[in-house]
Amino acid sequence: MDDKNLEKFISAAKTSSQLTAPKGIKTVFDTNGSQNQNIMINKNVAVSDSGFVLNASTGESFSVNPIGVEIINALKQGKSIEEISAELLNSYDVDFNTFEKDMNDFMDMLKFYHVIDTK
Amino acid sequence: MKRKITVGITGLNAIDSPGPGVSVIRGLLESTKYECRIIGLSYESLEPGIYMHNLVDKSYSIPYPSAGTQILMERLEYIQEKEQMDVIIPNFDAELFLFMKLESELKNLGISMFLPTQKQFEERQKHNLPEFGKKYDILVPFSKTIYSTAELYGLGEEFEYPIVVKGKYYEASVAQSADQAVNYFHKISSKWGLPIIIQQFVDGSEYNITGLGDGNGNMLAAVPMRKQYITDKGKAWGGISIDDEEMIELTRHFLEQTKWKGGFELELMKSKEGKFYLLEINPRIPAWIYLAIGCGQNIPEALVALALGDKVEPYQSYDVGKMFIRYAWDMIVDVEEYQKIATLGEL
Repeated sequence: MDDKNLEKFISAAKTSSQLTAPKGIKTVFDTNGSQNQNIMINKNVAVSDSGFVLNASTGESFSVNPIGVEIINALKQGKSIEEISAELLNSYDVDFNTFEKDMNDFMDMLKFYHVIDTK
Repeated sequence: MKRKITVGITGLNAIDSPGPGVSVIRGLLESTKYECRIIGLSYESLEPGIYMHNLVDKSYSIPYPSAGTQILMERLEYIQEKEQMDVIIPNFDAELFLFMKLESELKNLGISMFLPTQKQFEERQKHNLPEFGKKYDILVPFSKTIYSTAELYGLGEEFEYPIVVKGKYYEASVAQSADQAVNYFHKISSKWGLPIIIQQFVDGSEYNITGLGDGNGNMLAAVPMRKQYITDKGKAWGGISIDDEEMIELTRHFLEQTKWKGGFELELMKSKEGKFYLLEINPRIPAWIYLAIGCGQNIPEALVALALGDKVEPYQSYDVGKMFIRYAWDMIVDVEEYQKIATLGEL
């Protein structure tokens, strides 16, 4: 994944109302960059092939691009954030720092919209 | 085979704060138990439901609640002689009290209803909400009832702006300052009278749940909805059914505690911290009831069944992710029709 695509993938994850995740939300990575938090996907979240995401417990909906679909589906399959990160880093041409930052942003947004919970 | 019945329905208006009548009728016409003949009961000659002949078989004007119970009773006696209604479903907050008072007299005429008790109706009034919350252990925003604008300037210690200025029956506006609150006080009190309710503003998302209580503490129906499109009057113009167990449990708690009888709507605000605040209890079916019907819970049909004393099994599920999108429809009507309802009081 190049930076441009990553940017696109992050911006597509925002809702149509252009809400952004508030500052101060804890990221899924800790400050050392290790991925040590458990991610639980909300069981009421459905994602279509076209990237339409509906959280049936809040009624909120938004769109993500194909990579966002890939991540959400992987979470629904029970894959850990480490497994998903490894797969994405293997599949796309992206340096770790850029990937970490963008992945954190995306996870923050998923958390903000109650798609995932972290323990 | 469906049982043939005649049902009187109010709330046929469809202004920007629409009445529930037309949606209630749609539910009744989709009933699998009853074949309903619909009698429209209107307060004004331009209520659109009067002219929807595919939904309403015959309409009669009825006097405003301010005319009192005796005038209303006389009018209903006249209508009953002609129509032999089995059930009436009143759909306005402001008329409910009169229908409650006339419940036994209407029963003697052969008209059944399934309404909250007068105690339930009074307890959930907006100005009683703080006591209601305390009594039944339900989280409500802090609020205070006031009767004059002078009181607004003394609220500084109890409230932080913004505050919500609410009418006795309808309307609410968010005021950012005392001056703005004074304006809303005059605007709302001139329409709906006093008192005015001042409520703590809760920032969050609006959720509603409609349902049906059997009067013994049991929940017969409940469908939660998130408002997706909200008008400047705070009315949902679009919404989606959601799967929220906390809302269902809150509703079950409300019904168990109050033993609510009849249809209702709980207006809730989910704060940023994820807490549900009960903002209002509407003691009747809401205008968006057709969403609940579309989700598999025909609440108007169940309400009629309760009024008639028929057995009603509690609904166990509803479709999640169904949406309603409201639409305003211009009908072309001959002036003769308008003339009939305006001069003769029936159409």
